Amino acid sequence: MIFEGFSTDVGEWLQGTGPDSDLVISSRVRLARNLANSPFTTVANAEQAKNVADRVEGALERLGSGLPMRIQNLENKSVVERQVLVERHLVSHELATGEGPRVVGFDESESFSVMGNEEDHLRLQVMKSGSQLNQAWEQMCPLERALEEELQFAFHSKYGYLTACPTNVGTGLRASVMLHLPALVITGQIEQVTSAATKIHLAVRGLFGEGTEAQGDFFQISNQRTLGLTEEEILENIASVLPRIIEYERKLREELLERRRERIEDRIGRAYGILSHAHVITSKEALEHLSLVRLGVTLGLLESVDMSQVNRMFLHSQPGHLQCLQGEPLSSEDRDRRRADLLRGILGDSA
Amino acid sequence: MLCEKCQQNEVTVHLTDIVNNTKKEYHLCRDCAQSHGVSIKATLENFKNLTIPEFYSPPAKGDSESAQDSAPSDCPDCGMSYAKFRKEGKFGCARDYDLFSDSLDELFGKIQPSTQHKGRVPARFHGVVSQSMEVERLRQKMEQAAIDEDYEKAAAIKSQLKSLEQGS
Repeated sequence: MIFEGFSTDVGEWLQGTGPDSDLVISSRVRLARNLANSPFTTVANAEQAKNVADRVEGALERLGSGLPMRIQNLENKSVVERQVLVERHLVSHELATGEGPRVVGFDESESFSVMGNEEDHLRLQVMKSGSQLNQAWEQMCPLERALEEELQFAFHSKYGYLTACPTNVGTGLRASVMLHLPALVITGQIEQVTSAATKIHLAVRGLFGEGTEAQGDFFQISNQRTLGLTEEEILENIASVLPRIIEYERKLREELLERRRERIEDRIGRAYGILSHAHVITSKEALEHLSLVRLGVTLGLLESVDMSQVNRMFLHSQPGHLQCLQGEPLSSEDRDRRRADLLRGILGDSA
Repeated sequence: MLCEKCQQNEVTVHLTDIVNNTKKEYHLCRDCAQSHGVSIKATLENFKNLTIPEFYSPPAKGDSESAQDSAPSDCPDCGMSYAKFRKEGKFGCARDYDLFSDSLDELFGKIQPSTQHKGRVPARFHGVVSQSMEVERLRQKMEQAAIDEDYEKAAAIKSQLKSLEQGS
């Protein structure tokens, strides 16, 4: 494993703590920034990209003296190691699969990370467990200011912080919450949430953000507008819709328990049975059952399982982590076997 | 409002269809929309596959040709051409924002609520930006006063704007 602890721990955002953590898995804010007087990553040549990576790495190192940080050069990392960083949400898929010099710096508790040479020169993100968008933003502000003192960011008096893509310009802020909404999916009401969110210019995406599909009843809601609003207004827009989604999901969960208790208990029990006894399982199947087991834990229907086990299963059963735990690349079939072993092991602890 | 097709269920889907510059609106319930092939899920799927440049670009061929006549020159810093920017949807450097600025208001207007930044400002820009934000704020107030036909107020804001701009 790249870091000790990656095989046994989960990052701060997956602790299962924080307000409304039965439904809101995590909250994240991310800022896009570019260095003034350097071409964006989209057009930079090898020398320019190296120069940006070096400057970002240098700034992170200087920052690291007051703020312990792990700094990684992605070019030196194996495909599996990069995958692990993606699964822990420390780097984006784009940074992991990109080319050229790329760096990432993050703290030991994995509450923040700074990516160098993503689509923009810098992507700063802060992640928190549960519904804590404002707290994440509060942690972001001093981090951004500290980096701004080290590096001059490209800024325009009209357009704000300049980014490679017009969808990030202005504040460069993407705020998102990851939600677990099984009752809305089971009852077929999820499209109403999706369309309501879209109406107020929020995007609904899958587990790993942009370009990913919703899997296992997990959804990410984020702002689409970045220019012409203050950062606080952007956060407020998400905060305004979140309580209604939470209330809706909770009401449907109650109704499911009242009207279809036996069927729900059966589905959750079967999901637990498969996770605790299967010998071969794909990541898609595991995620579907994990979603139901998570629902069972939050509803108090699975007393032998706790949330920290669910979160460990959720993270460590993903392909990168499995291969890192094994210490070697595995074929898809081998991964499905190892995944089943791991899930049985984690649930066996509670049996 | 009842579905215009079945006249029974509440309208949940408002569909706007534009063919040959003729706009037609349909107000349907979920079931009728689905039976006519309109699914929110499918619509979202379509949007997901749409790239930013496709989203921005007008589909009409004539438009892009006329746009090229007055296209800004290529960026001397990063080499980005306006055509390439429209095709790929990504800027090459900070200077592109000024070079392509004539087209950006329209472009940004499609996805952003305003084209004037309102958020955080780096320390080195503090004085400059607060003034341009104030100008934009007054300009919007002046437009609103004109819409409200409060011309006295609009004129007062106009002179305020003038003195602010002269002072810069």
